Amino acid sequence: MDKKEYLVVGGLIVFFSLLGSALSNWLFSSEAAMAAEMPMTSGTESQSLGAISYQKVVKTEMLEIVAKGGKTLGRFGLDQQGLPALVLFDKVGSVSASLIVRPDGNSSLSLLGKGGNMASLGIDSDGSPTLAFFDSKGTDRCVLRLEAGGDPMLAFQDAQGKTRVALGGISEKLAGKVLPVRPIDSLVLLDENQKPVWKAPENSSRP
Amino acid sequence: MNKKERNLMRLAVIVLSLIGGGFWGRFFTVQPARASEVGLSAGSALAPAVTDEDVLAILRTENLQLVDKEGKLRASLSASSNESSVALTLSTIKGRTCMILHGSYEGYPGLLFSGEGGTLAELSFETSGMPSLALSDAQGKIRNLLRLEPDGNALLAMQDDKRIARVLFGRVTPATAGASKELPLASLVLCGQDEKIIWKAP
Repeated sequence: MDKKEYLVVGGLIVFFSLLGSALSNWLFSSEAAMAAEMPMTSGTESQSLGAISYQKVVKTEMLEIVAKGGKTLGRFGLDQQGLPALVLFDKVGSVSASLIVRPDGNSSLSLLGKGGNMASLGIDSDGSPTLAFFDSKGTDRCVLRLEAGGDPMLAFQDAQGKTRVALGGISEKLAGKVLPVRPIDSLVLLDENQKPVWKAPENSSRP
Repeated sequence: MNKKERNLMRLAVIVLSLIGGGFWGRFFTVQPARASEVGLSAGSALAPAVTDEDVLAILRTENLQLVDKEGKLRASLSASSNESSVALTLSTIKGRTCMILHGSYEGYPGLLFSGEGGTLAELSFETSGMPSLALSDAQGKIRNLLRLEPDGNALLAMQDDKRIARVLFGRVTPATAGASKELPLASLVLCGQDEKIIWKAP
């Protein structure tokens, strides 16, 4: 072979190597893109919606929602005990909202505001349906709930967690040794020592 | 080397170059993550991180199910069969559904929590279209009801186990309080077991 032949062979090697590489990338990246269109874990039947194909059922242990930069903004998954939860995060990664199931079988929705204030709706550990607002120190300051026996009540509490306004029934369990036991149809205002300073009606001995 | 041999060699060079280039492109360049490689099965806690390459832009399905390691259903986010709503449900370890968030049931969205003993907390819309929060006892009776009345005013009603309203706070009408004359828009009314008003303000 002369010099010209070597140049031709060398040129062919470079050109067709590049062509082969490009073809390979095109073929396999198309395959990956098609796979990416399909959900990620065990699926069953697939469905077609126009040009978009999807699977009818997707099963997983964890789904994460991420921002374009890759920051996780939400997780829908199981915790270490296998209990499901949906958790949403703010832009600094703090929990801003969560829907959880606790080990006792009760569940709740919690919304966390700036400064640590929190609102919660759900079933308490004692089985009572409850709406509660908490301050930044975690003290429940406003509670609308049913007592253990089912009696409804609305309570406003001070920073020390002491009930200062109680509308509705005050059960023996809630009253303890300090608060008066009251029927449902009652309103009581209490001082910082939990002593009633005003109540309606005056007669609290009715059932 | 004659002309025939030169042509054969050129053909061999072309074929081998294509194969070589293909191998290079397949194994030595960065590929996007394959769907089967997405790190969603870690699932030991709500904490595992995934890398940027593992992210799918959109996941489309009619029914997303969270299953534990034994394959038992723990939660789902699914479209209803009549395509009118999406519901998120969470279940306890025993398999009892304890929370339902639905986009639109009979036209209204709602959030429902159910306790082990049958108690309920439900944030929803009444048939009048007004929002309400209802807390129900273990017998399913609504005992604490916070809602907007059809005229837009708020009312908190507390009922006893016989469904008699014992406390009415806010927009109290003569019909709800059993009063003989009109009450002010903002009122607090306490009623006895016989439904009669025993105290009111103002």
